[in-house]
Amino acid sequence: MQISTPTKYKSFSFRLTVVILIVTTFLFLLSLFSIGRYARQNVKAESIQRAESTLNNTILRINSVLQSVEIATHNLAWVISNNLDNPEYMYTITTQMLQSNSFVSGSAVAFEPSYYKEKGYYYSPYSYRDADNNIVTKQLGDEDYNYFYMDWYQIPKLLNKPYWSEPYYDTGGGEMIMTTYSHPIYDKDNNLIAVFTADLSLEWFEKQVNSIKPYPNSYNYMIGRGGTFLVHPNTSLILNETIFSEAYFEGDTIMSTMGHKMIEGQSGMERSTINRKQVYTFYAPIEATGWSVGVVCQTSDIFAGLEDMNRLNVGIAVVGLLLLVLLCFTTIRRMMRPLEQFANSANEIATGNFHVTLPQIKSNNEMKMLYNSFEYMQRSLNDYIQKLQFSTANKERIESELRIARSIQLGMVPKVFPPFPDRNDIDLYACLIPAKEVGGDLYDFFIENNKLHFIIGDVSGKGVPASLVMAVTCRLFRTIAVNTKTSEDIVRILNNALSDSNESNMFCTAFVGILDLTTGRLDYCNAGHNPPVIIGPNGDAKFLDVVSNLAIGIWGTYEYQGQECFLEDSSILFLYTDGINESENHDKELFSNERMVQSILRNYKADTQTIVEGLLNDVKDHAKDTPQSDDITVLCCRYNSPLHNEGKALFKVKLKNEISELEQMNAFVDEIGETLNLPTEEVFQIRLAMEEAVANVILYAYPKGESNVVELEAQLDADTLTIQIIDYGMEFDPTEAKEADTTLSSEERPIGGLGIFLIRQIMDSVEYQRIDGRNILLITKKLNVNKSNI
Amino acid sequence: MEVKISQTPESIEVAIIGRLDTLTAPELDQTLKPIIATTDLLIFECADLEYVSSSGLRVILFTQKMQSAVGKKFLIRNLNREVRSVFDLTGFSKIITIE
Repeated sequence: MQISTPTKYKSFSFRLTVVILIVTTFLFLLSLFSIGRYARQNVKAESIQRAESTLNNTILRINSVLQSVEIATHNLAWVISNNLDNPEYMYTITTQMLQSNSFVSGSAVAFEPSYYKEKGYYYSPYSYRDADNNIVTKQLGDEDYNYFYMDWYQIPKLLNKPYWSEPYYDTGGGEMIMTTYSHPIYDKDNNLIAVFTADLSLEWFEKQVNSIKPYPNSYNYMIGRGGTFLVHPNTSLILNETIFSEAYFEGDTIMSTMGHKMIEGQSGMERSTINRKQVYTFYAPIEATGWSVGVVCQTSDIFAGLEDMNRLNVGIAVVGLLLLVLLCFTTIRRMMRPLEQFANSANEIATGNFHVTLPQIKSNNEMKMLYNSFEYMQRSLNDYIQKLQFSTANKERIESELRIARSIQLGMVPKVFPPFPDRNDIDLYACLIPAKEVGGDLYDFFIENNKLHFIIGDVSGKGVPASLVMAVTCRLFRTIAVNTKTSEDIVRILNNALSDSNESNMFCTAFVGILDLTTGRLDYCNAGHNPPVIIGPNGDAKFLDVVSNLAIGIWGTYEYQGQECFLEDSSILFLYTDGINESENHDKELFSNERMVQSILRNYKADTQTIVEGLLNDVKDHAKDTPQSDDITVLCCRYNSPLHNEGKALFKVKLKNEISELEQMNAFVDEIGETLNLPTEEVFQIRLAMEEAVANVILYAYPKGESNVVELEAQLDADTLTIQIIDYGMEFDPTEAKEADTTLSSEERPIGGLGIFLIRQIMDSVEYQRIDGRNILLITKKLNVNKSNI
Repeated sequence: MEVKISQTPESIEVAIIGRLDTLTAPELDQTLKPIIATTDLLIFECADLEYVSSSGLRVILFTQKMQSAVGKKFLIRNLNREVRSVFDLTGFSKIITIE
């Protein structure tokens, strides 16, 4: 047998590994999440700081330049005020402005109309840088370039203070987009005489602004006081679109709100979505001009490092987990391998191999304990099996001996059925079923001199002791019965022999009988056994009347009393031991005599084997699963009288009760003699015996004057001739008549009494029966027959 | 059964031929009645006596008793084997003279 593996078998190492994997993965995820969250916060703070500081630096640089322009302008305005008398000197001043401020692209001193009469209506000395970055001068104002109406001139004049203009394209002047710082110059009476300017090209601002590059994909823009884009990567927006128009176009309210904050001069940071990308916009004002610079950084850029880190972390985690799984699986598997080996060893042991090698355990842990237990089990099993084998061998030897004893015992009783296949007068079946291997019941039978000798017995106790007594009894019966005439004597001698050597005080109840198959006379002696059942030809059942003699083997000198009866034709003699009628079922209920008789009667017309087997089945049904407690023995015998079977009679004649009918009788005898080719002497004897008997019947059986019949029947069975003389007269047993005393002298001898004496002398047996109002005299003689004549 | 009687001055010889049984014994009995106890020697010649039954024996015993009662002799001759055996069986051989 193999230990079956469940279909959903998962190894211990697999399960443990899965659990460890789940827990570790959870912890990994938790820590990744926490680290990610913390890192994101840090990165965000750091990026804000970084962007803001870059932005502020740039703003600071721009402011410092603007400031230096303002200071230079302020200083040179003073120089201009002191040199108003020299109009040409103005060129020197503007040139000086460009020389000392490299980022100033142009500078002019624009005078009020006709301030110098000699210079005309327009006078505005102007210095600028040409394509080769050389400083050149020219007079700017004329009819085409009427600067009096330009913002950079009008607004400071009106405000009476210096002013940074909004960027504009200077047609006829700088020929570029620029912003101009205008400083009004007054005379002593505080009348405006001129506006001193310094131009800064927007390109310069753009360079400054675009120097902010905190992330690869970040870009910057700058808006003017009204929100107009001054610097933007998309140049088409510059001076054409405002941050608000762009926010409107994008549908971005955050950008719009941010635009307001920017033109109000605030600084800060906003998160928004541009082109479906998360972006952060940092912004700060340029206070001098009222402009604002914005730096747009994509979130993915800001957190790019973070995502790299996350990827790395996840990679490490995955690799770590794989390693962990591999390590766990192999380690646990290695640790558990002895368990598998133990399981295999257990399977091996289960198949009977107790010497199977156990796995070697070097470590001193639970496996070692298991190893010790296994080894102990192996040793104990081995010892146990050896003991078991020894006791089993012993038991088998005893059982084998008992089996042999059983077959010997069963061989002691006749068990070939039918036992007399060529006989019509006897149908016999018997059976013996010991409760254990051997038992104390017995039966035996044999035919000798046309007489059936039989015994049925039950030795006290069961098993081997009883079986030995049974064997002795069986053998003794055979020996004794052959040489003993009556059942009484058989039992007596049997009792004597058994009592002599009975040291164990075993005894045996027995029923011994001798059935004369010719006449149906049953001579029997019952030694404490159950009375047999007699079933008549019509199914009338009765227990045979028995004297209660002592069981044999108890008292050696006990006087047994025999009995006799006649069996009718087709009647059944049924013998049994108490294994039948005292068979118990589960409720301790006995099978009982009544059930036994009923069972026999159910089949009484069938052959004896059917009767017995039917009864045994009934007993088995009664007992059901209760084990047989006592030996069961049955001997069933049906007697078919050869004389009552008319079809079998060889010779038959019916006479009137008249003496002259003896002629008929003589003819009957002659017929027998001739048919059987008997010698004269035998015919003589038969005639003599018949005449004595028949004459007696004719003369005395019926009252005088009554006319009746005498029936004669003769039959040859083997070598025995049986003659039956039947009359219907009053009951008379001639065998009880007083016999003649043949020793008397002629004077003393009476005339009569010779008839029955003669019959006895010349025939082998004389029996009388009274059946159904008939007197039946049976006489038999063993003949010297030449069978070929029959 | 047939009976033949032959007479001499000293004896009477009765030859019994056939079966002496219940049927024929009364016949012999009747035949003997005038003869019995009248002669010194009564002889039954039985060479042809085939059979005898107890009825016949009774007649013979009666004859023996009657002869001896008057001091006369009675003897039986030439019994065949079967008949002789009946005489032996019944003890008649001891009480009747048989030649």
